[in-house]
Amino acid sequence: MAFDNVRSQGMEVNRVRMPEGKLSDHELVEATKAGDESAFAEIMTRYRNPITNYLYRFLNDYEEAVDLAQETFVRVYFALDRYHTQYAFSTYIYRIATNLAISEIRRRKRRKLLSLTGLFQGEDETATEFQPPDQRALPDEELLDDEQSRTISRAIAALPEKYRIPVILRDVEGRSYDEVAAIMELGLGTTKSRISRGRALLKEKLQSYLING
Amino acid sequence: MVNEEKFQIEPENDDVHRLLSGLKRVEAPKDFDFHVRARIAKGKPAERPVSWLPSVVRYGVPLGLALVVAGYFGVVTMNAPADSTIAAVPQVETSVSQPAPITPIEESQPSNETQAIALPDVASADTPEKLNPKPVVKTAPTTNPKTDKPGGGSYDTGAGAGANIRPIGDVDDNAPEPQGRRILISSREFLTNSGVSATYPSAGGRITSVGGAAASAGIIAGDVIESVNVQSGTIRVTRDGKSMTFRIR
Repeated sequence: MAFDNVRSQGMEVNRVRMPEGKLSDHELVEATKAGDESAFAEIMTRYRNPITNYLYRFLNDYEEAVDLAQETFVRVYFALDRYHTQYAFSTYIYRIATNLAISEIRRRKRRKLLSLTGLFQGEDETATEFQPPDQRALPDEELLDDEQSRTISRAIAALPEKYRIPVILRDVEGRSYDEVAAIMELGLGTTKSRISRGRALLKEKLQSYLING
Repeated sequence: MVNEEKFQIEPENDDVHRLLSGLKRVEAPKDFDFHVRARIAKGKPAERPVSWLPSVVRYGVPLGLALVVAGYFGVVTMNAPADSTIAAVPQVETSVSQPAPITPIEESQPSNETQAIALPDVASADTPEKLNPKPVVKTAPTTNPKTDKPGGGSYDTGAGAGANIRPIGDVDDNAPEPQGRRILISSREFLTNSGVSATYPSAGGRITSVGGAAASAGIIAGDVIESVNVQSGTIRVTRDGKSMTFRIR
C-alpha cells in the first residue's frame, strides 16, 4: 500500500499552469522543505477546507474530521522529504487523509464493538458496515436543520468503504477519475465501476430525493 | 470484483452525482492552522492505538510464547544424549584442512572415550571462535534520551525541538528525518489562541482576561505567568503565592 508505488496519471501539478504569481503545489513543497514556513501555511490554506470536507463526508463527524484533517497536515509535513514530485500533491494528501480515515473507522468498530451487516446486502455479497450517525452538533446549524443533507450524509457514511471513498472523491470533492484511481491505488476501470456501484447503492437509499429533486 | 465490472459506467449527469455535488461543504475552523502548527511544534504525531487489546496482552502473550519455545528447546538440548554427534564427525572431518589450534575442553576431560575421540574432530570443524566464544559486549547507545530530547523548559528553549519525530502509517519510517525545517509557535501566539490576555505574554505577565481553552483549564484573571511550554501545552502561573500548572487542550 505504499504510496510511492502509485503514479498519478497525467495530472502532475507541476505541469499545471498556475496563475501569475501563484506558486504550484510542488513549488510550495520545495519552499517548505527549504524552511519557508509561509509556504506550508499556503498549502494549508489551499487544502484545509477540501480535506476537512472530504473527511467529514467520510466519517459523518465534524470534530473527528477536523482532528484527522489536522493530523493529515502534520503527517504531510513530516513526510515532505519523502514526497516525490512526480506525483500530484493533491493525490498525496488525499491518500494520507484516506488512510487516516480508514484507520479511524476501524478503531471505532473495535471500540464500540458494533458490527452490523446486511444494510446493503442483496445481490452483492461484499461485506458491509454500518456507521452510526454522529449525534453531536455541527458548527453549521443549517446542516442540522436540513433533513435532506442529513439523510444523504447518513447514506454516504453507510456505504462500504470501497464504494464510499471513490464516490466522495468524485461526486463530492470533484476529483477526476484518474486522481481517484491514484488515491485508491486502483485501475481506472475498477475505480469507475466502484463509483457506479456506489451511486447505484445510494440511489436505492435516496430514491425519494431523486424523484422530488 | 466480478460484480463491479458488470456495472456499466454511468454518465456524469447521473442523478446521484448531481445530488452529491450539491451538498453544502463544511469548512475548517478558524484556528485550524494554529492547531496544526502546534502539533508540528510538539513534534509528536497523535498515534492512534493499533489495537484495542491492552498492551500487557499485546506484548506479554508473544513474549510468553517465545519463552515457552525457548524453554522447550533448552530442555531438549540439555537432555540430548552425549554421543549424539558421533555420526556427524567423519563428514565434518574430511572438509577441514587444519585443526583448531586450541582445544582446552577436550584435553581437560579425557574420561569419556567417546568424547576423547569425537570432540577434537568436532573442534576441527569449527573455528576457534566457536569453541572459545568472545564475550559479547553490548555498548551503550551514544545518545542519551534524556539529554537529547527537549526538556520541559519554556518555549524559548524547547519549542519545535521535537519536530523531527516522524509520523507512522502511510509514510516510510526508515526515511531520513526532515532537516532544516522547524515550525515554531511563539508564546504570545500560544497564549492568544488559548484565550489568555496578559500585560506581557511571557514570564512575569499578569493575566488580565481569560477565555476559551485557558478558562476551561482553570486559569483566571490575576494569575501571573511563570512560564509557557508550547511543547507540552502547559502554562505555569502563580496564584496567591502558589505555583500552579494548567494544561491547555
